Amino acid sequence: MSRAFTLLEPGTMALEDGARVDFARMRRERLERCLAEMERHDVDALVLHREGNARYVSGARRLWRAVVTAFTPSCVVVRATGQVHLMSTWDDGIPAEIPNQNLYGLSWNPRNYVAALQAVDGLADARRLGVDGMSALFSGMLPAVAPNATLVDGERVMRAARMVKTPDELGCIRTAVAIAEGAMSDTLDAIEPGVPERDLVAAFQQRMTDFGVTTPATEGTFCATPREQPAGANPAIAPLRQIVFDRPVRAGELIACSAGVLYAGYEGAVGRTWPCLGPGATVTDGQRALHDRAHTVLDALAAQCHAGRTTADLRQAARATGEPLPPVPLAHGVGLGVEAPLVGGALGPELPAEEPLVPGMVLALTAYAWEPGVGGYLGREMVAITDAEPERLTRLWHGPLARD
Amino acid sequence: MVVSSGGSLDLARMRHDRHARLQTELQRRGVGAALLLTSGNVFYATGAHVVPSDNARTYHQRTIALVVAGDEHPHLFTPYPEGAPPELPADHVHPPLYPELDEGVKDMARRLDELLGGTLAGTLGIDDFTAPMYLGLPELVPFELTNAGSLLTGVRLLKTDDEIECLRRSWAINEAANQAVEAALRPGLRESELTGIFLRTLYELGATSNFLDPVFQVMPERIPDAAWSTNGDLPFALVTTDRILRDGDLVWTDTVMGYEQYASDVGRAWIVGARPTSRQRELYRRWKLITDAVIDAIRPGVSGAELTRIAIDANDGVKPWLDHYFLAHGLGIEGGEIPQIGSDLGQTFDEGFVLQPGMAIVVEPITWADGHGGYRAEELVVVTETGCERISDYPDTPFV
Repeated sequence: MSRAFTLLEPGTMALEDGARVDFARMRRERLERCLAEMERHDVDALVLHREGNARYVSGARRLWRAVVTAFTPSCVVVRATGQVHLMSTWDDGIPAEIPNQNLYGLSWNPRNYVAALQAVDGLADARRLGVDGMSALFSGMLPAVAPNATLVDGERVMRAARMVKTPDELGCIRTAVAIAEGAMSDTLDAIEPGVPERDLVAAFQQRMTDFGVTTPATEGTFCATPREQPAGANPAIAPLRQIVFDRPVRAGELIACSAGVLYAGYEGAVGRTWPCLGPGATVTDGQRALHDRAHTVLDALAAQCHAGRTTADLRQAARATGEPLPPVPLAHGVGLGVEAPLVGGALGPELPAEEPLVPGMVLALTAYAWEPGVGGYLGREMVAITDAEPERLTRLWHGPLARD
Repeated sequence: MVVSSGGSLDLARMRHDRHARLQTELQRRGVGAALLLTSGNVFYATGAHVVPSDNARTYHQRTIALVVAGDEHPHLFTPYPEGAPPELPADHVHPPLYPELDEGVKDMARRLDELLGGTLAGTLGIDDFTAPMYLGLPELVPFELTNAGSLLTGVRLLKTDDEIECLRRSWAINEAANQAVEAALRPGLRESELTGIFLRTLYELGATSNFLDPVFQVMPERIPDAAWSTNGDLPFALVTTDRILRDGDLVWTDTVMGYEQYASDVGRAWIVGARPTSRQRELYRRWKLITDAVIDAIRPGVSGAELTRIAIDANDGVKPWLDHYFLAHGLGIEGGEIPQIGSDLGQTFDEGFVLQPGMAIVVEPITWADGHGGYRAEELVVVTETGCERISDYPDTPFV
């Protein structure tokens, strides 16, 4: 088991001893977790659209797209057969345990999807069919695919399966974090007066590909933090720009930088705030104070990352610091991209449901402290919840604003 | 922006015109309001910017649009209020909805009721559902729910002049980034390094976002040497890896990015290091013949079926596109919009689809000779009142 953790040590060269993530074991354990949750939720089959769900049950490396499109059935899991069926016109990127006859081609014609689903062994017999979304177009076609099925929330099944990470999944996440931090470190070094914010995205993305990763988890935020509330803004919410554009960063500004990458589908993300220093300039006490305030919140959040605590404890801990909630989510699960639970910040969502924190969950924690006339500090860390102390996955230094 | 198309662009006018078109279509169909969840539709309806991200992040931090018939502005529910267009009144910019959970759907129903309750004239159209929404929302709202997907598809098909200018700029940035990669192409680079050069150039030239893991696929010379496929045809486009490029490799590209969220879909063919063989140049010449014949025929009133017939005739009776794709497709806020001409939608679709001014069409035939590889490139045209305007402008060297 300990060998699953060695991924980062040997680098990327070919290794005869297989001392890396055991991807075959990872896929097997994930599918087992999915089938177990299907049984627990009394779901006979899953018809899935979301790429993270399809990747979880199949390990398929399909073409990544950054747009949310309407529901199409791109992956099917049948509990009785234990088989995964996938929309893929070819077997490139498809793990060997998924036989070619389980693949169906990309299509523009919904009738061809229906025919492909009708050919899936066992799907027509499903009584309870889980879906992770639905479109009007496909809801009309489901009776032809599973005539006796009642539809249920398949995302709930997948959420339960995906919440707890196996040791191999944690190995992937640690690797993703190392890559994200590597790309971020170089990007932070590129901050100087006059550099357009968008060039920082460019720098992050190119450095990311040096590690063989071609897909970001998010294009991210590389934005100077506002020093005043914009006109018409809600004064109760700390101002933060998250959307990058051509604006050059200026001397004296604090630049909020937060981005992530996907390694084998798994997200690693990190957020730091760096001062844009002109020639001979140094950071101010006011800027350092913002760093300290944000870290008080991050420490308070991390202190709640124990088995037995809940998402409500996270929000309560953040509030107890006296800092206003940030204009971004306080925390969210991390795995194959962003996962539940989501703990909303000042913009919500604030939902009555409390979700328990359990060992094996990975969370991204976010804090933002803001001071008029100074700017803001955005910090983002990733932690894994264990049986004992939480494991801090991010370790990139906090730079010129940190006191030590 | 470093790349310039020379055309004028007024984003506020573009949003205004799109809203007016949506309003006309809502009234025409008796839809009282459209609740929109998919990225392209939300952007079309609102023009709201976001932090472009992996889908998994977007599910948890969605922008959602509500377009009410008769309302001067759309409603926007967003986790990125700074991305709302400046003309959107404050009472139309709302905190995000979270339809991932049953509680979030209840909240959605409450907020829909606040905005629409007692005043909705007609049905509530929805383009896509989360599972809790699909299972829960119909019981929670007093509205008749209909499909808004086809309504948006139809409205988005015909572009305004501003939309076409966005497509021009998007295509120009994408081509420039492809050219930067081609200029760097040499044995020993990795596919993923090509991605790095591409992405860096995109953002430096002013791209708003990247939509697709850029494809730089080393092609086999023979289909039997390629991956297995469901239809026996050539597998393309495969996912980029850190494969090391070698002298003589034939690389096909497929890159989709956004300028103001308007997509470009550039595809080119390159040779690593070496010059193309005489057979490869011949395949290029045939591709050019087919492409020019198709583009020459593009004008209002021509059907998709006529285009496929022209392409097949120019290729001596053989269909010059992959079985799992199409000869041509639409382009707009997403890389692939209707029509998919020559796809598995079938002959009836192609015959019924008639070109009109304002449509943006990507023409992408393929020529192939097993044992020698083939040629593929994508060209963008916009249908005008009398013919079409060719927007793509990428040098075909070294195949010429």
